[in-house]
Amino acid sequence: MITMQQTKHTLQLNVNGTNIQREVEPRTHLADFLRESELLTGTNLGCEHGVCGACTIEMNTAPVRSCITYAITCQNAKIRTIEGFDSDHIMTQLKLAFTREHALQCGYCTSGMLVSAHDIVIRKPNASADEVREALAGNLCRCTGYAGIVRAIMSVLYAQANATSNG
Amino acid sequence: MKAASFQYQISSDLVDLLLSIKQTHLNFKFLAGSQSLGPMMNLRLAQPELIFDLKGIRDLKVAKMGDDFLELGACITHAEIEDQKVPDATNGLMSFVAKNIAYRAIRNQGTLGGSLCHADPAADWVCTMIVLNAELELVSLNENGRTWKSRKISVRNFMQGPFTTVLQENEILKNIVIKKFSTEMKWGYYKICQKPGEFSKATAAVVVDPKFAIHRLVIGATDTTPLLMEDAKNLITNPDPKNLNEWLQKSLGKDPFETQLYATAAQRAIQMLKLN
Repeated sequence: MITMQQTKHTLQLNVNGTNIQREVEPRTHLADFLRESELLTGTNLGCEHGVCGACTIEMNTAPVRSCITYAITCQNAKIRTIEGFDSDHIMTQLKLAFTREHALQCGYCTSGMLVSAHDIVIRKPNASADEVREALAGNLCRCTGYAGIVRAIMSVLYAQANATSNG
Repeated sequence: MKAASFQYQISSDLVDLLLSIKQTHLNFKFLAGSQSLGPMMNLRLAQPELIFDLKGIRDLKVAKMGDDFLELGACITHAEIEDQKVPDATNGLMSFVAKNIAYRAIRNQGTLGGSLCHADPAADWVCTMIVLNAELELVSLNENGRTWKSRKISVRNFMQGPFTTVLQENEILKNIVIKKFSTEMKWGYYKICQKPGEFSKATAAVVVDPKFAIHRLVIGATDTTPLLMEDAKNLITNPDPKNLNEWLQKSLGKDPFETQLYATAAQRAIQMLKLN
């Protein structure tokens, strides 16, 4: 039996606008680091092998799975969790739309769902409902049947398109 | 599900990395995007004692368009190919393939080279690189210990079976080299998945380039390495289900019921040729 001395590494990164420095074990994945060290429990862990999308967060403005990304590999990265979107205009619209369109029930998938939805609104401003469904294939929701979620995202896409054409 | 303990090392230089590999006695793995290794480690199917993170090595991120060849660094991500942030020599085939790999959050991290070295039979790049007849540049440390040397190998000889490649323990995949096609090149690509982003049950890729007399058909997501028909002109001109099924049954050693999905994927990929 090999006993392995766990060496901790110094990790520097920016979480929701704040620069932090922490000691982490290599095996700690980013989601556990955010939840347990930074107490940012808005990020939920579902499957812990990259399938369900509940743990989706933003790294350097792109969505990633925080359950299969080790914290130590995120040296100098800019991380944004659901808690870091409070002053984000698109996210505010999405949250209101999720409430209005009944896009959540238990809420477990919602933070990951919102981060993916935010990426869709930015990257695919002209997406059809079918394309939104396809882009959401990596986020599982077992409550809503997705109809409300797709409606909510579509309503934000329409609102964004109208705002652009009017302004 | 948390990974077992491991030690971690990151290098910013290829020679440093190759030196470290030579010096270690631990059972190690390379980590590129961690989108396959991450789940395997969480599930404890993989328990490496040491991880070499490749993220910091700039040599592995280079994309270079030459006169006849396109060189893509192994650590270029699927999303970079999808968004055409790297040059393309395949009339859009690679961007199309990248767009349909797993999900965007996975594509932002997962890499072209990582996928090839992982050698999952259902992986898109394994199939695509064979239809493109790509060459792979594998590098290892020179005897002097100060530089690296490379050898080139056709992608057809790279994957030996499921999750098995010819990569030696002291080697690393550096570049994927693709010969440029002519502007007349057409392609088709179809995979059958239960839901978008899922692992494929049957994949077919077809490339036709009249200028270079290429009529290539590849069937992927088989039990092992992809199936290649180098001269598929007859099947492409006349994708008769009977002929297709006969070839698939013979080559894959499966009965007609089992080859049906592959035949359907092949027919749809061939149909796509007309649309592209």
